[in-house]
Amino acid sequence: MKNPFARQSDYSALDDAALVALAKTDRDAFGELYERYLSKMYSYVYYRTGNTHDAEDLTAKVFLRAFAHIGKYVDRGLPFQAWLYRIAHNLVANWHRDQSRRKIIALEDYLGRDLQTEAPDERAEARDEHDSLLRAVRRLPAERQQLLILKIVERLPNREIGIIMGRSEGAIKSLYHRTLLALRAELSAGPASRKMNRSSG
Amino acid sequence: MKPDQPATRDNLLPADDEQHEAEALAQLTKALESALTSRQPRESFARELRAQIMDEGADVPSRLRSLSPRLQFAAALALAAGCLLLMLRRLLGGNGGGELVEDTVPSSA
Repeated sequence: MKNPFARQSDYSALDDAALVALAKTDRDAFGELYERYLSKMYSYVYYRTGNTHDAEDLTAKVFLRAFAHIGKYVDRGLPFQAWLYRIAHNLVANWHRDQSRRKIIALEDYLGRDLQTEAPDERAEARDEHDSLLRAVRRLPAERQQLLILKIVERLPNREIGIIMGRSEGAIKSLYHRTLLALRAELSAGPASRKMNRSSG
Repeated sequence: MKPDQPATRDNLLPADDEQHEAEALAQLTKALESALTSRQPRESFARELRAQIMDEGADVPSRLRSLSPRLQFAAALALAAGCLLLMLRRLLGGNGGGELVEDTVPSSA
């Protein structure tokens, strides 16, 4: 006799499109999508917020929102993860807006709270370079940060990044080049010269 | 630099600059790759969030489906025992053995 409570197994063999179609009525199928994309969403949100606490909070919101709206999801042939990244991007944008309303946290304190303390056994010099690079990344405009995370952390191809960010493949390639140049300029300008640039307008 | 031009300091400089820039950007990309690595969420967070999603508005059969086979068996056993107890109470008649018990916590001193 068939066990009515038996788990529907082997969702792992299905591709995203099939899982999304199932997930509209079957929460276990959504569970498989959750397993597939949890780390990606968490990494993305972590680097955009800079701390574990908010990364967890926003990651939870991404999946709860996706779960609540999966019934209305229309497959237009775009990757499912593009939809998830857009949800994450919008939530992070709202979070930054709320943060700026509440208070401005000094970036150094901000990094000191989390990103810095998570690598205590690294050599101090290497850690300083690492931290100054992360600080420089976080000073970039939001879309450039998003591009770096998708390209460097998630290793997505330009075509897929273009779908997520609503740009052409060529535009992404060019934006990446400009981002690297801006980042290099940001790194070569010390804190003092940045301060001067800010105060001069 | 054009191929027929002699290699003077002036027309070598732009090529040097380009090469220098390409090297600098490659170095920067390498540094980014070691600084921006994939992050894993805490296991307990991942587990709790999954449970929260799975429980959101779930009906009883789907909640039971998400339990492990051992817990499913225990739930079925508890259900059967409950039904048996109700049947016994009806068969034995009376008020089912239930006596009025005074509230153990007085409402006032």
